[in-house]
Amino acid sequence: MRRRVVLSVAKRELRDILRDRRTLFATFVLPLVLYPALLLGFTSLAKSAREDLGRRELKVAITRDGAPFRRPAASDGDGVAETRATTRPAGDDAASDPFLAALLAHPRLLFEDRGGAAEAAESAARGDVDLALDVPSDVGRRLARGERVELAPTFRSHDPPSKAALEAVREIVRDVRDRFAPLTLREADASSGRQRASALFGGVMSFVVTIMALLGAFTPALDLVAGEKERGTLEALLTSPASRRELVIGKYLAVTACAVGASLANLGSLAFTFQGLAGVVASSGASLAGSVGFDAAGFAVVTAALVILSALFSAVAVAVSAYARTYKEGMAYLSPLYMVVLPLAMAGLLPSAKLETLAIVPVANVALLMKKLMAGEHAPGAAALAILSLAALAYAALEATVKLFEREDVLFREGKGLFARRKLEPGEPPPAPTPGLAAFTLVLCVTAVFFSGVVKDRVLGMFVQFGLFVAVPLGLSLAARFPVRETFATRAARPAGYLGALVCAAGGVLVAIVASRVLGEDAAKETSEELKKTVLPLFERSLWIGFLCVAALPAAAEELLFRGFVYAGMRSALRPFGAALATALLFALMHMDPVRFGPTFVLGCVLGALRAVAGSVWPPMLMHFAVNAFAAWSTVVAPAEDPGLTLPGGVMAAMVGGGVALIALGLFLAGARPRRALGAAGGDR
Amino acid sequence: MTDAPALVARDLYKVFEDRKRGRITALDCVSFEARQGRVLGLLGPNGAGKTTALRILATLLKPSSGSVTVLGRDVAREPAEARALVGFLSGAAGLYERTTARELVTFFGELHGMPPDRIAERVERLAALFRMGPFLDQACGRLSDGQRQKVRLARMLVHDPEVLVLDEATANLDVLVAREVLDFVRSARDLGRTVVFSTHLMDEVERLVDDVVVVHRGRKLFDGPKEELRELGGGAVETAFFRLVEAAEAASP
Repeated sequence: MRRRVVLSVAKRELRDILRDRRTLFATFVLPLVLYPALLLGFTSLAKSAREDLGRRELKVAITRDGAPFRRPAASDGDGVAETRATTRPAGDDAASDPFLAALLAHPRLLFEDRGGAAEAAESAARGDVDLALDVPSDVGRRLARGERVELAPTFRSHDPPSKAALEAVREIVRDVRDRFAPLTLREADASSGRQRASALFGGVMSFVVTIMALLGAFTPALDLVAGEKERGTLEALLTSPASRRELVIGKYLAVTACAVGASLANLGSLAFTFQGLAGVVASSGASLAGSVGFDAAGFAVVTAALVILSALFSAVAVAVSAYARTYKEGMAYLSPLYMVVLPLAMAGLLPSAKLETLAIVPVANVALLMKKLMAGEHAPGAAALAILSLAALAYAALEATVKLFEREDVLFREGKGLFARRKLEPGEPPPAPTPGLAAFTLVLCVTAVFFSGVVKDRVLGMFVQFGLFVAVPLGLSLAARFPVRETFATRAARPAGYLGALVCAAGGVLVAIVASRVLGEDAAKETSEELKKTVLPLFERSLWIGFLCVAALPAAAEELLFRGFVYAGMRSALRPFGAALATALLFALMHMDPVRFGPTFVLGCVLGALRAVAGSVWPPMLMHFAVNAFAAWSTVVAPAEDPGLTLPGGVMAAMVGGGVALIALGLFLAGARPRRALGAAGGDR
Repeated sequence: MTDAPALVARDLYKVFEDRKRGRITALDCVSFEARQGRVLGLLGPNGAGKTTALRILATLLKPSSGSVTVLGRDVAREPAEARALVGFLSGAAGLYERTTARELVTFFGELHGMPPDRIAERVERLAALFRMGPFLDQACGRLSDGQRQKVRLARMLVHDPEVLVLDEATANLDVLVAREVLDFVRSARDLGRTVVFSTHLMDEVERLVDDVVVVHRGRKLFDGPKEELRELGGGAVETAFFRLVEAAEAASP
């Protein structure tokens, strides 16, 4: 073997590789950025989860000799029911019992009365309280005598707050043991085998299975279109009478079948492997053998979710494949896709990530759903939302892929790229976003919200989040050469448009006040509590920051995104009011809160109608600002003296009637135009 | 055999946008007609616009402006109907490596919506015509270049198209297989089929073509019967071709 020849072969190959910018990016640049970024993101998410847990009060139900533990004052007879509220029991007992005293003095433990020992243990098993503990009344005496004492707390090992509560109790026990007599804990783990197995394996399993669904779609998809281009078989296919749609959907079905097969095969194999592992690993002293997997209903739901996730990945993969000229070029696009999917697939590894809050974040929702179902916990509402939103997304992605397949400049790439600029032929209408692109943009935005959680500072985080709401559609518009002014409807409205917006806002506020009464105190209270938790810290910084973050930023960003870009996308397929309705639906869905779905949908309808009649994004922006500002003012700045105040039915009906009338008047004002300009400029009719 | 045009291309104009090279006019107002029972030769050097023109005929590309009708069907408005009438073969076209010749031809019959027994019948006839029997059930990846070209021909012909469009059909073939292809084209013409045939080989024009369209840099330089072109070159097609191209280069260098 001649060394010089070997070296010159190696040199030529390396030169060739280094001249391929895509390979360079995928092999060198991306890993340099990807893993540090992933690590940074993941650790900061995990850290904030830990801090959240560290701040949280831990609910503990204590009983005394099996009986409810009450304040001495309550034992007089009256007001027993009052102690159901969270209280910090204090009593003479504490003085003689160092353990109880330390327990009651713990700053993070919050004591709840859940009845006798059996009921308390049940509450802890259900998760209503984090820990249940019976403390016999003779503990103090026995400890003083140096006798051995054993206590039996009930907790749930798969639940982080419950584990934190147990840890707090253990700490106290250690301390007491050092100072007095041997005090031991006989910990009763109320977590089911499935729950423990899910906590142990669910994160890894959901991560691997979702990633394998992506890979399972990608590899065959690349071969199916980019590979056909490379081998020159695509041409013959395209000259057959089969339509592009038939071809692409046929290919898509094959890819989806592969992806479903891959994810289910991985799911089965992993479950089998972990099953074996579970037989060896013991958690809380009990073997987990037979605890890995799903019940029948859970398996059905997981399969459905995986099928739809595979369908989504397949559509994306076929689109990439249609765009790529060669198999190799397509592989280079896999890395950036990974960068997006990987952190989302890790959702199951984050103890604080909840399916309920991330139900419409693609990929993350499937991972969390899988983990939850592994624990044997069913959440039909969140599961339905996750599956439906994924299905909508998969459909939009498929439609976009078909569109891409119908474009000869993409399919043949005669030197021209996807985002190449083309001069419009005279008389050719300017390009506009499509409903599919609008939906896709929203998903990008939702995903951006997930990632912007990394930013620690609340105000900065809001700027990042709402900045992305504008930057994403704007970037797409610039890339696709949509005329920005028309797409975002940034032409000024006539003065009547703004007046109409304010009248609409007044009407909306009237309806909202009644709605919050009708929806019931609990829902309203829950919403306003939630609102206060997120909004109050902002107002505590300063009034201006509060109004900026709660009213101005969301109004500006959400209107440009929804009544600008998304409306334009819907408008390309629907009439003005249909587009307003479709936009409102997405607007309500994006708020990811079942309680607020109705109100946000109605608000979205009015905002969309304003956009339609005024032909501009500014009036809905003004209305949105006014409504948000009023909501913030009424809940935070100047909360009502008596939020539980009930209004007589007649008054409520009159308010709703007045509100609706005001909205109608506002819309009429915004849509009315000077007689001479009738039918010309103005509304989007 | 009538003399009515089976295929009419009117004012074909095609522009590509290229990031590096800017705007490229691949076809500049090119019109021609192909008559039934005759072979139309599209003659031009590499990069003249032949492939672009044929891809438009085969509905692979849409013209920037202009129109193509095949037996009265507008290619842009009724692509599916037009495709059913046209068979397209490109010398560069690939075959599915893991698919057998029979499976491949059958698959294209299915894409044409033909019933299974009709497909089977066509496969047998084409296999007999091109003597494909010995390799009909072998994976295409294992076939020789000549055998592959026969599979391509069978694929193009499975639906028995009226108009055959062949783009450099003899490129990269040895003379024996090339002759077989040319023989087939001749027999198809004799059966009343319309053939559009692109080439840069003068020899093929001399031997096969009835009418000639000469294109150069996207422009049509000549359109007429082969005899007329021959006269222009004093009896030789090649000389005529050189004269036309040189004149065009002199007019717009």
